[in-house]
Amino acid sequence: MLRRVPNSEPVHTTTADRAPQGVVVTVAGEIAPDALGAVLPREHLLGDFTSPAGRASRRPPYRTQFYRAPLTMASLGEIALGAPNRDNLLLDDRDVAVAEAAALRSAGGGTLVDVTTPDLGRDPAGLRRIAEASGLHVVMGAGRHHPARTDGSRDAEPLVEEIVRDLTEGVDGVRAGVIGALAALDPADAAERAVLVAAARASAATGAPVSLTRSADPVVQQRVLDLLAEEGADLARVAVGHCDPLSPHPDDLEPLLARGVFVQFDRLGLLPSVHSVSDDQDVAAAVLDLARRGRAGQVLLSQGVCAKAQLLAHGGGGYGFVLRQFAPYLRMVGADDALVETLTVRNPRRFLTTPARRADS
Amino acid sequence: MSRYPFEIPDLAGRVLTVAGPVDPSVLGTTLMHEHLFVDLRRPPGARRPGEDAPEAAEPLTLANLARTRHGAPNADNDVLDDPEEILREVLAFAEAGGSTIVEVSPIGLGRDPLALLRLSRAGGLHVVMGGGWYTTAFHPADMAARTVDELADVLVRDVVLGADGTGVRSGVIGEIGAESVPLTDGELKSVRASGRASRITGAPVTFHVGGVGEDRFRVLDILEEEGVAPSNVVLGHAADVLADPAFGERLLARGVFVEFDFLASPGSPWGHLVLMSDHKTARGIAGLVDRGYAGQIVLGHDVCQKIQLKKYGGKGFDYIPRHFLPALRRLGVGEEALHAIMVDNPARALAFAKPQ
Repeated sequence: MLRRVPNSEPVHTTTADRAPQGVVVTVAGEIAPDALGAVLPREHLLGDFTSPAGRASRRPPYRTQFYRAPLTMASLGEIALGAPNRDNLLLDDRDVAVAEAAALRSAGGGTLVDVTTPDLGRDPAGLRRIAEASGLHVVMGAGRHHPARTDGSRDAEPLVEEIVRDLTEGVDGVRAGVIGALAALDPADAAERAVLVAAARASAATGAPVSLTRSADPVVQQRVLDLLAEEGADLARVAVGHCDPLSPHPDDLEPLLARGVFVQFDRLGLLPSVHSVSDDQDVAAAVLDLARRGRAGQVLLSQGVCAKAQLLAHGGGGYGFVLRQFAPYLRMVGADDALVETLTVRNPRRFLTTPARRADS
Repeated sequence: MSRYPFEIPDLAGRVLTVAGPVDPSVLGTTLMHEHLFVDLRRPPGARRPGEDAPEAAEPLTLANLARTRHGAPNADNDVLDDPEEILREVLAFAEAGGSTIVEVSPIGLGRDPLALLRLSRAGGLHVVMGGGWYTTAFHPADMAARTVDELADVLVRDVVLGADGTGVRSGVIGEIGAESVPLTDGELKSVRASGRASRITGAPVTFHVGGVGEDRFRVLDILEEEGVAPSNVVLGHAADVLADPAFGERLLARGVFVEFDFLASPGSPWGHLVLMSDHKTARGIAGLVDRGYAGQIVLGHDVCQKIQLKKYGGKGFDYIPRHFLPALRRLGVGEEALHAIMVDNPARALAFAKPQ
């Protein structure tokens, strides 16, 4: 049931009210942080999100048939209930991506961060074309999502070089502006540790932000942050994604917030079912709760589009859900305009802005 | 002396399906709140914003699914009228072990008695047909001029003689719309007429909400005054029982059934940010079962729009048996309670009382 939440406490951070000095690197080049507008910090425009080879063989036969069938309107219900479908997990159409990006633009969006890493099928030329055609600023990812998707190397240094090159020189002139998104990785595994170390070192060298995925085990999560800090990353420029499942229990976010990272709710716009652990109402309640605790400056919001079923073209919430539907809902349950701006403009701007001293060096 | 020129049959202890009376023991797994043939397009004068826009007249396809799911009016979405399409959808429920569907489309909302009878035969399912009046937007234009007895007469004829001259009889009165805050005179009259027709025929009554907040008790008081047994009353859309447990206890103390029936809703017409999500409903139900209320809970999907059908990207009529009940099991709800919720309670709720 909906109730108006008392809103007497300050609801927006007092820090970083002005755009930080520095630049944001988009696929079209460097831009001033003030030019970002409203930002969706964890999305995918193009990519391949099917599971690594090998898993399909363990699927029961009826699943295999459904898995291989093209996505249709009639399969969306089963997909929403968790049935894997290969076509659904391929974002492979630039024209569709342009239309979806344009819809975000018309919903008031300014910038989309595409955190697709090369091992998930990153397409730098495609991203630049989408940015040009839609008028959206697009920030591109770098690094690795998960070592199991590639060679599983335990050597961080070649990956550091690759990431720094992507961030500074770019791929055919298209530069990355963020490192990640990394999967939920465990430093105890040598190959996973190498991905984390490479991200941290490249961030230390360039000032680029890092986009992580939350570990299910809070102890592992703290080890990940320890490792990143030891390797020189600034935790204030690290976003920990997939925090949505913790939204029913905001206290569980405190150990993350205490490290200075952003907690990112990035599964917004999905239709809930009985299998859901949390829903968008929970996230809205958590956001207001965090704001009352003075943590509004550490919260990021996104949809995490990584499947066709999440696109407007296939009945989903699209890239504009946060701005078009979630932000009005937040206001309805008690957020003011300042809080919405903090969440959608100021926080992601601080996350993405590479400090001037780094950019100049 | 009866006010009716026909005999009121005594169906006490029987359930009245579109194919005739049956013993409650044959019903099996029952969905208590669905629509198979329905027309939810608003009458002139009650249109929602955007309902007259050209986009609202487009057929429902992938191209407009997103905005329809998020609440934009779409006329095609608001009509279920294709027997073959609906047959395929309900067969998924039958394949998942289901055997009875309670079709609660009220008068004037596209209720189609003969289509229900044909569907029942073709699908091998028991179908119980509803009736009565829905929300005020759908009330007849002369509602204010009609008396309680005149309204009750219509309901009695639907149950005894059949609806719309088809001979196909209503086995439940409702879903009766009662959702205004506070309830309007028309709603109060419709509620009382439903109670009166229930006493006269013995038919059970099922509600669209049945009053918001304290008005729930006003509705139950009217039914009691009219002589309806609580075991023949189903309060639909009862998420408030879970959202406010103290309120829920008071309601359950009246002995009526509470129905959780927005399951698998894709959101529209409210948007998915407004309804209680199914995972919370499931936890709430598990809590009610723990507190001893398994005997007063019934379930339904309330399919009423195309976007809820599998063909149009919805989760369909088999979501409860295939997904919701296993989730309840995982939350610790035992087989006995599940059997009560899906089989015994519907049989008890739908069994006619003795006509009085």
